[in-house]
Amino acid sequence: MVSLAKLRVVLNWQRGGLLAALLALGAFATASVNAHESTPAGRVALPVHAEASGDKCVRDTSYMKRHHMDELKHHRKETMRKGIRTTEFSLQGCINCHADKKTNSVLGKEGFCQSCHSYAAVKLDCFECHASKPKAATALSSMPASSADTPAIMPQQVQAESVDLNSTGGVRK
Amino acid sequence: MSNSMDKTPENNSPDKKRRQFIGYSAAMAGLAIAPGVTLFDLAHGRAPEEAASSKVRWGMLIDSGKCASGCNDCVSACGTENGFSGSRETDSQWIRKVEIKDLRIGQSHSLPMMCQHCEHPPCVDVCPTGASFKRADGIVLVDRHICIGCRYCMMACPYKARSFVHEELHDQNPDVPRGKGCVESCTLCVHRIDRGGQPACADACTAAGHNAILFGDLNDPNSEISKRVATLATTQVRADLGLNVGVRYQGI
Ligand code: SF4
Ligand code: SF4
Repeated sequence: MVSLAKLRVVLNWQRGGLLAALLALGAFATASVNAHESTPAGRVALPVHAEASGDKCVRDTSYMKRHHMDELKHHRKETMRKGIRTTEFSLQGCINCHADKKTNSVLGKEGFCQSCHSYAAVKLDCFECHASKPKAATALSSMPASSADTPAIMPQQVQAESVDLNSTGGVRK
Repeated sequence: MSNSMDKTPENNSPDKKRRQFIGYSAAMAGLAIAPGVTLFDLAHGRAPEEAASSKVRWGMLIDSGKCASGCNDCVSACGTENGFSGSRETDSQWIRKVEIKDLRIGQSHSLPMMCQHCEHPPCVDVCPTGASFKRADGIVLVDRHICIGCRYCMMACPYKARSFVHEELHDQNPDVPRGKGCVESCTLCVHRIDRGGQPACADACTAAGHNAILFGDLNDPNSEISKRVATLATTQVRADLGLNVGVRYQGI
């Protein structure tokens, strides 16, 4: 037997659904109108998707839009806890391809990560710890993080030369 | 447990472990590259998709006889590699130089002190979140994604090895993510080890010609470090705590 209260809940829920659908439709309509225009004054800036430097993403865009966070989280566990350092879903890989050509970063107003996260109002805290710029070619432990011809097994790296022996590292005041 | 000292000969003989490890690595290499071409040192390297294994236990042997008093090269190299300069009062300190002196005979020693990568790490015991953990190959790490910055581990560590990051950081080394609000300590340069390299401090010490820091696999009876630990008088600092540390000292 369906109680009155339950019926009311269901009805409310349906009304909510209808409202959401209408809103979504509205948003879609506005978005498609605005897609190729500059952001109207007073509105949140539309995300910028500048050309990435690689040929092709590791998955198609619709998959990445929905699942990049899950893939990154999965990969983070594998790397952190087990030391697995495959490059397919590594954050470094994303940054290497998507860093802005001007700023060399995925952050900033037009940065690949930040512009979309601001638009979606999702807090982006990866970069409080992680570097937002690709690894410099001459960085300390130089290794291309995601290039097609990277051998599956890394040769021993010669790293000693680039260590700056004259820095003031670790000297306590 | 994964330490050459405690192995029981019947089921866990180092030789057997070593043979299995080589077999496995060789199989991996065979899969990945053409026969006869080995791009990495079998005893050391690991394919990127291969997890760290407890067949290996990374450690260091520090010869205080070779460690030069006043030399700070390992400390500088650690800062350069991991992204702190030591110029700010609140900067982290993963490794420091310690001078010890026997007042009766006037003999003094110089040595670097860092996370000792305990087999039974007190920092891991006390961590309420599971952020402090020991990787299969014996490296003690902090998972900063999970660390809440409570600093219990700093209190628990007998070696004062851990630091808290008090201020916002910028321009981190892409291989060494670090940030405000987390505790951190020597990672044994895990990002280098995973690519077949060795810690930056050991490299710097060798580059300076002191050769006081020897890095290697304590589980591999044929490694230089195991041979030395087996034949020379080496010390674990605060051995009385029974933590079975991965960093050993010689000459103190
Ligand atoms: S030396 Fe300190 S930080 Fe390192 S494993 Fe031992 S207790 Fe933990
Ligand atoms: S500071 Fe972080 S790593 Fe240390 S005990 Fe607390 S949660 Fe664990």
